[in-house]
Amino acid sequence: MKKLIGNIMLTTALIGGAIASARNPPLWIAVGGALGVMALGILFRRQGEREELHKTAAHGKGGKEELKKSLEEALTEIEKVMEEKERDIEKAREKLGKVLEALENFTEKAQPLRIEGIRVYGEVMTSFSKAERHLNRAWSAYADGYIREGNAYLESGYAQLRETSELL
Amino acid sequence: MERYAGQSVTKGEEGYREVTPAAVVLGVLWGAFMAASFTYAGMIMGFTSGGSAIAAIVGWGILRGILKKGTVVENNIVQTVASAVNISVSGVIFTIPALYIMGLHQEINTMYFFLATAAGAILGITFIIPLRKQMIEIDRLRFPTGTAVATILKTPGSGIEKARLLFFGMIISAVIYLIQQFPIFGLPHVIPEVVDLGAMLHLPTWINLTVAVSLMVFGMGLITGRNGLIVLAGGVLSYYIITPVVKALGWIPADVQESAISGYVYGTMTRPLGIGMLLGGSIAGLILSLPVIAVAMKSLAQASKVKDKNGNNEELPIYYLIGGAILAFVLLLVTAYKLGDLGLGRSLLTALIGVAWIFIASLLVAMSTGMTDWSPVSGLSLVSVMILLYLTHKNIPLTILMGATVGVAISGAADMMQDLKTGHMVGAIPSRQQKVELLTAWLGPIIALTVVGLIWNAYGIGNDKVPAPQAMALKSMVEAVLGGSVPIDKFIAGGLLGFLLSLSGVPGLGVLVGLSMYLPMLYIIPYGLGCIVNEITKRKKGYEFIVEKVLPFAAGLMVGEAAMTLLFAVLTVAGVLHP
Repeated sequence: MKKLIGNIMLTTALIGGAIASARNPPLWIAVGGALGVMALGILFRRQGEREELHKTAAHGKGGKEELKKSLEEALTEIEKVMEEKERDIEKAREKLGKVLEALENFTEKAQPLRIEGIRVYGEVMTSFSKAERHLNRAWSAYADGYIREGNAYLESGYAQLRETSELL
Repeated sequence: MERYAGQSVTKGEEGYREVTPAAVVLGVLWGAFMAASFTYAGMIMGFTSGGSAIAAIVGWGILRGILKKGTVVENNIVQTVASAVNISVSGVIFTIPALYIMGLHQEINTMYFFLATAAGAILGITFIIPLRKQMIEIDRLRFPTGTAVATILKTPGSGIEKARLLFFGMIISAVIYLIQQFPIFGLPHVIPEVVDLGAMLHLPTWINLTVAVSLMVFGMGLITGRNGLIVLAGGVLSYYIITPVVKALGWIPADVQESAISGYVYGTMTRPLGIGMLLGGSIAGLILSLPVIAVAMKSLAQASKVKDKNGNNEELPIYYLIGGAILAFVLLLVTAYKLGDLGLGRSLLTALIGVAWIFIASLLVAMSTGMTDWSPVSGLSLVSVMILLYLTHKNIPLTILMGATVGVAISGAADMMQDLKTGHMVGAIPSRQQKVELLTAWLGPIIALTVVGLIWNAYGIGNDKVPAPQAMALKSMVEAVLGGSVPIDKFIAGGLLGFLLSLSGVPGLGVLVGLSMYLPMLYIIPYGLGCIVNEITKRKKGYEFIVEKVLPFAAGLMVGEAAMTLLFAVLTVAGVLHP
C-alpha cells in the first residue's frame, strides 16, 4: 500500500513538476512544491518496497533460500552436463545452453538481495557473473570444437557458481 | 601446466583462438573501410553506425569461410576492433568539420586534431574500465546492440532454427529499407519512411503522431523489453500531456502556428528538460552506484593481480584507469595552455573539469545505451560546448577541439560497453578485448580526419555537395551559447527532477524519463511497440521463448537495416548514389 501511495505521489508530482518546468521561464515555486511531493513519494515508495521484500523473504519467496535453491538446481544440471560430455559433446552443449538460459532469470530473482545492502548484492552478482561468463566460454569452446578449453571453463564456471552459492 | 603466451590451453591441443593476428588485421581493415565510408556518407547524409553486427558477419565469412579456422571469441575480437576503429567517426564529423565551416581550422596545427581525437578514443575506453563490472556484471544492463551481436556470433553453434530466424529478420528489415530508399515503381509510397497517423485519424495538427517505419528501431525495442516501457511512458507524458496542457494554459507564443506547436514545445521546452533530466539522473545514479563501483574497483584490483583457475588474467589492472585519467588531464592541460592562452590557473581548471566531464558523460552514455540502446550524443555535445565555452573564455577553436575529444570519448565508451556485453555473452576474456581496443581505437580518428581533409580540399564543407549536417548543428549550438539562448533554467529544473527520479528505487529512472523527453516521438513509438511485444510475449510464452525465438529475430531486424546503411554509404562514396 505504501509503495502504491509512493508511486502515485511520485508520478503526479513528476507530471506537475514537468509542466511547471516547461513554462518559459519555469514556475519555480510550483517546481519546488513538486520536488517536495516527489521526495515524500520516494520515501513512501522505498519504505513500502523494503517492507514488501522483507515480507516475501519471510515467506521463503525471493529470499536467499530461493536463490540458493535455483543455484543448486543449476549446479546439478551442470553436473549432468559434465557426465553427458563424456558420451555426446553436442548434447552436453545443448544442455549447457539450457542451463545458461535458465540462469538469466537469476538476476531478477536476486533483486531482493538489495535489502541486505548494495555491497552484498554487488559481491554476489560479481561472483555469479564470473561463473556465467566462464560457462559461456565453455559453450563457445565446445561449439568451436575446442574440447579441452570447454572442459576447463565448464569446471571453473561450476566452481565459481558453487562459490556464489556459498557466498549466499 | 605450461602455457602459450596469450593462450589459455595447455600444449598438446591447439590453443583456443581468441586474439590472433588474423582477427586483429581483419578488424582493423574492416573498421578502416567502414570509418572511411561513414565519414564521407555521414558528412553528406548525417548518419553513422557502429557497425559491430556487420563486422561480426564479415568476420564469420572470412575467418570460417576463407581461413577455415575462426572461433566465436576470435570473431568477437574482429567486431570489437572493427567497431573501435569505426566508432570515433561520429565524434569527429560532429565537431572538426565545424572548424572548417567557420574558417577556423587554420588557427590550429593539424597535429592537435590527431592528438585531441586519438586521446578521446583512448580515454573513452579507459574510463569505462570500472563501469564494466558495475553495468554488465552487477546491474546487468541489457545493451541491445551488444546482445544482438552476441546472437550473431553464436549463430553457427545455436542450431538451424535460430539461424533461420536471424536471417529471416535480416532479410525483412533489409528489403523494407531498400523499398523505402529506392524511389522506383512508386514503392516508397507503399512503405514510406514515416507515417502520419495523426493526419490519418484527423487529429488536430498540433498533436504529433508521426511514426517512423523502422524495423531496426522496433528490433531495439524487442530486445530492450521492460526498461523501454518507461521511455514510452515518458514520451506520452512529453507529447500527449505536457503539450496539450502548455497549449491550454496559453504558454505558447501567439506567432507559433498550430502545426508547429508540437515542434515548438519539443524544441524549447521538453527536449531541454530531457537533457537536464539525463544529467541529473546520471549524477544521482553515480552517487547511488558508488558502493557498487567500490565493489567493482575492489574486485578489479584483486582480479588483475591474480590469474584465475585457467591461468588467465581476466581483468585490466586498475593502473590503466589511473593512467588514462592522468593522460586526459595532461593532454587537456597542454591543449588549453598552448592553444587557448588561458594562463596556468585557468588551464588547470579547464583540464580538471574536462576530465570530470568526460567521466560523467561516458557514464551517462554507457548507462543510456545499456538500458535502451539510445545514445544522447547531441544533447551531451550541447552541454560540452556550454561548459567549454565558459571555461575557455569563449575561445571557439579550442572549444570545438576539446569538444572533439569529449565526442570521440563518449561514443567510444558506449561502443566499448556494447562490445564488452557481447564478450560477456560469448565468454570472452575482458582484459583481452580491452587491450586490443586500446591498441587500435586511435586509428579511427586518423582515418576520419584524413577523409575530412580530403573532402575539404576536393569539395569544401558546408555546401550543397557536402552539407555536414551534424557539424552545422554544432555551429548552431555554439552560436546559441554565444547568443545566450541556451535554456539553462530548463536544464536546472530537469536536472532536479531527474536527480530525484533516480533516487526513487527504480534503477536509472531519471535517465530513462530524461531520454524519453529528449528523443522525438517519431522513434519512441516503434521502439515502444517493440518493448510491448517483448513484455506480452514474455508473459504469454515465457522467458525461454524470448531467448529462443524473439532475440535472434530482433537481432536480424537490427542487422538488416544497419547493413543497408553501410551499403548506402559505400554506394555514395563510389558515386553511384547522389543523396
